[in-house]
Amino acid sequence: MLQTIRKFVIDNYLFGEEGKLGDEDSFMETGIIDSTGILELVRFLETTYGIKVTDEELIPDNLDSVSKIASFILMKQSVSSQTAQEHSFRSSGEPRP
Amino acid sequence: MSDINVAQYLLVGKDSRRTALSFLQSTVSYGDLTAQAGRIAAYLLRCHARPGDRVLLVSDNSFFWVACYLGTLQAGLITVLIPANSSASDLASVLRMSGAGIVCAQASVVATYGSAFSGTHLLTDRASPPAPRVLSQVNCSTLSSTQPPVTDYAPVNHDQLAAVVFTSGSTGQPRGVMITHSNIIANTESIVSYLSLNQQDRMMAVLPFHYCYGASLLHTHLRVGGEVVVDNRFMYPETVLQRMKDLQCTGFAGTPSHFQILLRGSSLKRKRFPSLRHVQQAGGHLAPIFVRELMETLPDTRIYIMYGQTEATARLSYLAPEMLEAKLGSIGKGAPGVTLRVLDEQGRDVRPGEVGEIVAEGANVAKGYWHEPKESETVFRNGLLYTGDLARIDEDGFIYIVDRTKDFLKCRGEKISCRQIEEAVVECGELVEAAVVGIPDDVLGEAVKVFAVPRNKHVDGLEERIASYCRTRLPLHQLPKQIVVLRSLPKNIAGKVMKSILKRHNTAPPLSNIHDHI
Repeated sequence: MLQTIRKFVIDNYLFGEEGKLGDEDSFMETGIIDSTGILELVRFLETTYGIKVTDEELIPDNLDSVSKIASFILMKQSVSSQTAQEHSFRSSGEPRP
Repeated sequence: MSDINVAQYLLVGKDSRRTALSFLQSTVSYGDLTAQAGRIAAYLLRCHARPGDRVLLVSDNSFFWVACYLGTLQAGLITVLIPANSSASDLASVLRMSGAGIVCAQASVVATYGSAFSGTHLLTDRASPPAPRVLSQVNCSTLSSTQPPVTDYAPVNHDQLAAVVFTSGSTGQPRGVMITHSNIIANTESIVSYLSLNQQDRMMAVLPFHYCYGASLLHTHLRVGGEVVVDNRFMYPETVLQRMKDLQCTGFAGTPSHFQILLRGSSLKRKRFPSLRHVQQAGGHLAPIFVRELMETLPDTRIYIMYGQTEATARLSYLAPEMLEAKLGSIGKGAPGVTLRVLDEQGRDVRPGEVGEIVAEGANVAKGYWHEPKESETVFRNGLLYTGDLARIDEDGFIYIVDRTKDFLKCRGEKISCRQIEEAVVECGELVEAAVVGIPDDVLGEAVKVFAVPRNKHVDGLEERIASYCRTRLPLHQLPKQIVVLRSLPKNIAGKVMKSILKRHNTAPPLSNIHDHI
């Protein structure tokens, strides 16, 4: 996942210059991505990882580096799989674990 | 005309305990700001700078930027302003063109482009590795212990230069606009009066201060003893909105792009801003569909649509909020102290409905372009500023911009405004923004090419949907011949779409991060 995200950022914002991006580098401080760029990045994450990012989640804590994005996606995926699981328990009438 | 030093005009007579600037981690009082500007002035004079010498300032919005700016003006020197993300070649050419012997730069710029500063005295915002071949290098944070501040203000005469601001024109080459102390004071007085600013005002500043619109926020709020909240995180609009709520900001200022992002990609519509007294929009044309949305979203906030140019220090006109509904799409009338006329090619005032060029007169009209006498003579004639913007005027004297002089395409010999088509296209409802350029066409001369940025990810078949929508809105010869869907439009630092880049665009590579750095 880290690699996919890093590749997207490098290809789209750094014109393919790989050496310029560490996983912990802040997009904001380095000025790599601007305000329309971040919307584009979110669109990519939504399509690639099947998640929905709300406006309120568009904050640096979630998105401001490659590694922050990876943790955010893992968190989103685990929440959504938990919700899906709960949903399937409810619809099959089984007791919740 | 005024002969007061801008630093004196902005700083003297303030309650030294009041907050002037708010940053994420700290606040700066008027007292602290005055002292730090004085220390910078002392440092500059210690570098043997003489009145009229240029000082290049290259930094993001920060305490460092504001103190260096005011300190330079206090010392009677000329500040040269460029964006912090300027490229090495831009930095080098601006240094060469301006002849700046002193550079105030944030450490990250020095780390990247240090060699560009050889032969200058270099002041940095924090500790920074030594730049090669500089005459001296000083860390600004050490000045407080070593440098007693200068407390007087260099005398200035009415046409003495304060700043050379390199413009981010959407067409043509970047140019240094020469702004005098009296230009800044005249424009500040004008803006303060029509916005009725006072010391209770707290402005959320996301615009860079090196850009004339951003600088105007600083000038006006410091003048009235108000507060400027600095936030460089607009790429995460939620953080800015939340801070505006938390700090009870009374004002927000943005370009069309800021408002489009807030309206289409943030929780603006779901949040309430009871303290927000006014918002300002300038820096380009915001399509009426967005203005209407903004009015619906912020029903209790006064919305000012404004128009200006760096060549006029910043502001030339505004549309009073109470006229917004009736005169939607207008840039209003001349701001206080500014006379705006719309003239035909013979220099006569146009009649209502006719198109002519906007020509401005006022104490805010800049002195000319730096070292470009020929170009200056074309744009600045007999104390008038020929803006290059084409407009019509209605029966009540309200001005409507038709287009930039060069933002036309010639189709079947007829001049067609790109903006008109852009407005029609964006109303299809699926787009954040659109830009139109002309492409050579054997039959029409030029045909319409549309670059469209979708608001969500459902882009399948979008080109066709745009095309069918256009068929309901536009005459046959104005229908797009090509439609390209892009993730974003290339913009310069002032948020203006770089049509020159779009015109060179043949395929659809990622265009998102292309900036004109000046």
